[in-house]
Amino acid sequence: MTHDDDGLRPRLEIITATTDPNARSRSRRIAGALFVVLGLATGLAAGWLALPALLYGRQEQPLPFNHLVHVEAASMSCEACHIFAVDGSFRGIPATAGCVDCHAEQQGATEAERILVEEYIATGREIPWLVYARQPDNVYFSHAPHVRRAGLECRRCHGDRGTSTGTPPYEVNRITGYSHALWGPRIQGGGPNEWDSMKMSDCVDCHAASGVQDHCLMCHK
Amino acid sequence: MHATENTGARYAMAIDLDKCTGCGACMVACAVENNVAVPPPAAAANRGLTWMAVHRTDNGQEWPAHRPVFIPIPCQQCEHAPCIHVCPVTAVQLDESTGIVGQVPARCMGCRYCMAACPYHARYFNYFDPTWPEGLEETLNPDVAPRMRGVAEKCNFCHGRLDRARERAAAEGRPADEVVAYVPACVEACPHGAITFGDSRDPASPMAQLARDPRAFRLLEALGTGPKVTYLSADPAVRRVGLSRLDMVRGATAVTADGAEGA
Amino acid sequence: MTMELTRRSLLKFMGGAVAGAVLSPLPWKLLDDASIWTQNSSLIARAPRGPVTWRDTTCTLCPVGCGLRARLVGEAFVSAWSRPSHPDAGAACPLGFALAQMRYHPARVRGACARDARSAAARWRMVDADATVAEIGRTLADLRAAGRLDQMAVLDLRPDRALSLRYREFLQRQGGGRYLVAPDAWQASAAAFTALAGSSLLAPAPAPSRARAVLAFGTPLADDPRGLALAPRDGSSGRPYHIQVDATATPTAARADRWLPARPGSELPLALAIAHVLVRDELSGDARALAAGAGGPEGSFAELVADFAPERVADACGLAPSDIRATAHELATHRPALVLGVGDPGAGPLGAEEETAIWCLSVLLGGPGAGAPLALRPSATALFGEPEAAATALSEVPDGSLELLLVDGSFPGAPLSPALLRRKLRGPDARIVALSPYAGGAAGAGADLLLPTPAPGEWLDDVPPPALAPVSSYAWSPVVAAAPDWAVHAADWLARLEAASGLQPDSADGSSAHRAGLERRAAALMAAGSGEVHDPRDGSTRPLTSLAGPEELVTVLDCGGAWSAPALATPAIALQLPGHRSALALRWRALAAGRAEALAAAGRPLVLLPGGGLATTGGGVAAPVLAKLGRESELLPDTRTAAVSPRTARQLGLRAGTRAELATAAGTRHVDVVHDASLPPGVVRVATGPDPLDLGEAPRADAATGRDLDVPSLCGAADRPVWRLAGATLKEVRRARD
Repeated sequence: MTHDDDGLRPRLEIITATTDPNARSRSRRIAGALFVVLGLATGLAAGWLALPALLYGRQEQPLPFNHLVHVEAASMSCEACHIFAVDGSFRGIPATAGCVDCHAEQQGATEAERILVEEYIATGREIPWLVYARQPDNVYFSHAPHVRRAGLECRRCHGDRGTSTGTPPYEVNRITGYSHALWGPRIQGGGPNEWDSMKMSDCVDCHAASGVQDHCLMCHK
Repeated sequence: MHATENTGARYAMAIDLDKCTGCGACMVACAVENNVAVPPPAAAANRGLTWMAVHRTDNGQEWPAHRPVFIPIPCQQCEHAPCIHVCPVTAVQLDESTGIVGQVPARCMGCRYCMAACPYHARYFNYFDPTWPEGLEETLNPDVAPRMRGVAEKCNFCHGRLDRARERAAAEGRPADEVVAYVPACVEACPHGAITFGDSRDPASPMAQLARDPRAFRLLEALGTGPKVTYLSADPAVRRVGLSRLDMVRGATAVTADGAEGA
Repeated sequence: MTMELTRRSLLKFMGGAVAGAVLSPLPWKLLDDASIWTQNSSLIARAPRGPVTWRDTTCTLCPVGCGLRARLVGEAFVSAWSRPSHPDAGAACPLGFALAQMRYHPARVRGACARDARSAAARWRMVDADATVAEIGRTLADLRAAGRLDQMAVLDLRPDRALSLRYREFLQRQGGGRYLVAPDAWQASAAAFTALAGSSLLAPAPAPSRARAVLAFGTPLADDPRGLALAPRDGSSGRPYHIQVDATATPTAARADRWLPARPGSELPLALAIAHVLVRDELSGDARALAAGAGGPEGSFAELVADFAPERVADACGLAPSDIRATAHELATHRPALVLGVGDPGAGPLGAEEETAIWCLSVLLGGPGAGAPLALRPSATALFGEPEAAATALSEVPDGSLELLLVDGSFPGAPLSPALLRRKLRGPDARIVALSPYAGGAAGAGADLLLPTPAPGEWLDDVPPPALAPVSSYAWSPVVAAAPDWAVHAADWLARLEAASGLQPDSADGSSAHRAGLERRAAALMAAGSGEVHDPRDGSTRPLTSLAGPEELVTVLDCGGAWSAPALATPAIALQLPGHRSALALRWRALAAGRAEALAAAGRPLVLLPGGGLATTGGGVAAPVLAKLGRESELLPDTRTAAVSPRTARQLGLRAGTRAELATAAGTRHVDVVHDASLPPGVVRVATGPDPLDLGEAPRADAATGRDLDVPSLCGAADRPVWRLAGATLKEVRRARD
């Protein structure tokens, strides 16, 4: 600002009790600093608090799912549902056909159980699960080299899913349409745990650390 | 020629021009496999995306000495690819483990330097939004990502199929450095068996033998781009076309063997 | 304390906010997300995701019936590939590779449709299916009541299927009506042999792989999917010596060991002249015996060909007499040899006289007999033990004689001109009803009413042995993807039409009855007990007798399996030349000058050669990817262009790209001139069939509306059963001002 204050002031000025010119300019400086701080706080709040809240839309899963019950009460192994097909592809989400053995009849009286049996088991429709770890269309990822060849544990990327008791809402980035789980819980990306995010940089870091020869088409299609 | 590390595979293709009848099976199979959209009807013929393009040419004679010749030209996967050197955003790379020249659409900024640099006119630009007649997106191949408007693209020896083959190899517990066998869509589709595919560094592969075939030549060999596609023909007229002129390529200026643009 | 809310303080606040935001992830995250957003435009289609599975089936886009392997992602039918373990050794063509797209063809209708087909501009509109069925039913009932059922007909473009039986049954129940077929070039060639053999229970089974030489009169052995199915698989060292007779330098001619560039339409004199040399020079040991038998009691084949010395027909053929003699000698030294007709399948049948002469020549050079290249196999009727029934060729139906014509749309790419169909109609109220998935193609293009049926891949059809197949074969086309609700099985439509016409249908469920028909055929094969079965479940091929029973054969066929049996090992049979000997001699002599000669006299100096290849056999409605192929390559002929040799173009003063009018006795068509050095001088070549560039409904082509004629009509397909040649003129037209 190059022009004089006085030329602009009158219309916006709020007359105060103090008439001392020194005191007035001091208090004006404090007030000015206050505005800056206020703005700074607002900006920080917008970035750190409002953005995460506004950026992601929430969608509920079609049905709640309790891993723990299946693992402990039904004593099922992870491989009972999460299988490698003959062609080497990984069927992360089990088909409805796999649920029929136990859920041909309703197991309990919950509404979700009724929906499962009536709408999916009886009709053979697949449950439209929202996949937290779903990668964008131009990403090629195969479980086989990571699990079978490199021997990575599931939790290394997915965390301890086997002990979860519910299905958190699926959060989707309103701009990109990508799952929140790819970016991680922190708005700046990632999270406290290794499995909190599945960004390209996460893949690259691990590949670099384990000496995998990288090439664009290795992970992109 | 600079020394490259002599490890990994060098996937290569051999196309027997004496067997090709221009039926177009390879072009259709390629477009189906690689999710190539149909451009709007009003678009100029040379704005389409034909990763595998079968060009029609002839021996230069009139009937009855005339003989039609068909030359299928996919990306030649050059060992010293001009398109790699000109790309300002490193959207093109030579994969040292396979020899395949990869193009990443998401990284491409659409400057089309690579198209100008490619002497084989084997690179294509997405002039239009990739749209399909209603419902046809149901037939897209999930192994290949559809591209957006404004980026260049080209054949990558059906990398989606290589991915599937590698996945299977990994699931079967085979080691990471083992060269997996697979065939691109055009090779599978050719009803005449005119296209052969394999690892040219493997002495047992048919590719190694075909490279020594007296009928073998490479397109514009003198440019020194080191193509990985070998052509076979016993007809000197066909060899002349392939070695020195590719002027049958639609909308292309003839490129002569010394790299100068001719009329 | 002052609290002045000045503009400056507002600016300070904003400055602070910007600083705060910069210290937060907000701008960076938004920038990042926005850049991803630009790459993921909503216009980019999303591919289906899910587990990949494969289903074996059989292609029904042309009569060859190649084995196909359908790739499914989840429930989505994504693509189709060939099957190397199938008896066809992995044959497939661009049509098959684009099969998945046929379900989503832009010309596909989503319900019953109607239009006023007499008006060129009429568009299809959706109508109520029940009302349409009731209306057709009323017409049927009226025709029946008035005793005018001969004015009702069913046109089956792919005869010999179980569904064909159902169409005949439909006619029987109505109490009359004509069962029509429109023989294509391949079927016509087979029919000529059947006439020669005098038994409709026998079909020719020519096997080039058993011949030492093959003489092909235009047979597209290398550049048509059906020719490929016949050609010996390449790579074998025992490839026969191949002589190709072709007017133009086709890819097949280029690959042949010898190419005879004969004049267009000179097949008959050339075949007879070669036979003449064989008989005269006694080059074929049993030539006299066979020929005497072939001529019947009134004279021998040898006498019939006596007039056709190479010196006399050489001019008509455009070849030197020595060429003809040399060809005969080459064939004689490469016995057994096989001679094939067909010609360019895009140009309709070659002609009964030509086909007869060609088969006679083939008989002279080897066969039929055990192990001979020209063997025999049972016809479809004999194969399944079904009652013989007469079929009428569409060309034999007089113009203006039909009130109601039902067209089966199972063969969308059949070469058929809509204008030709419409000429058969009686009056303004006569209707063509298409049972077809597409508002276009062979069935839909000429229709007034359209009852939608499932697309290829969505319904179970059967694939009887194609015309000229070297072996007997039978397969089904198991369903790959579910048909949408609006698509109703053709057999179900027939049942509904029967009910609407006041008849009590046998069963309301037409498709189940159709399935039962298929199973009856499997049982008939099983009862005959010969041949072998390819089982796709384990890739094995084993004798039919090793199967437990008809149920197992049904299971195998349901999995995309195929039955096949080698040609019959019958001794030589006597061939009987059709008609009276002197009449035949007269007819042959009349055609000896070549068909082109007769045309040139009419003041139309150019010879119009229609032709097709892939565009014809599969193009009725071409998959979008084929339209792309047509537009972006020079591989598919374009129906909007006319090709002439550079020399002829210079004489006519026609530059490439010139807009010109192509005129024949039948009418005119506007074309763009292209130069093609593969053509002989004086010849104009146009592609037949629907335009591969046209994705939607084929443009209405009707002389009455003053628009361009479609190519078959232009060549006189409506007036002459043989329309391979026509006299034509080609003149530049000034482009109308825009």
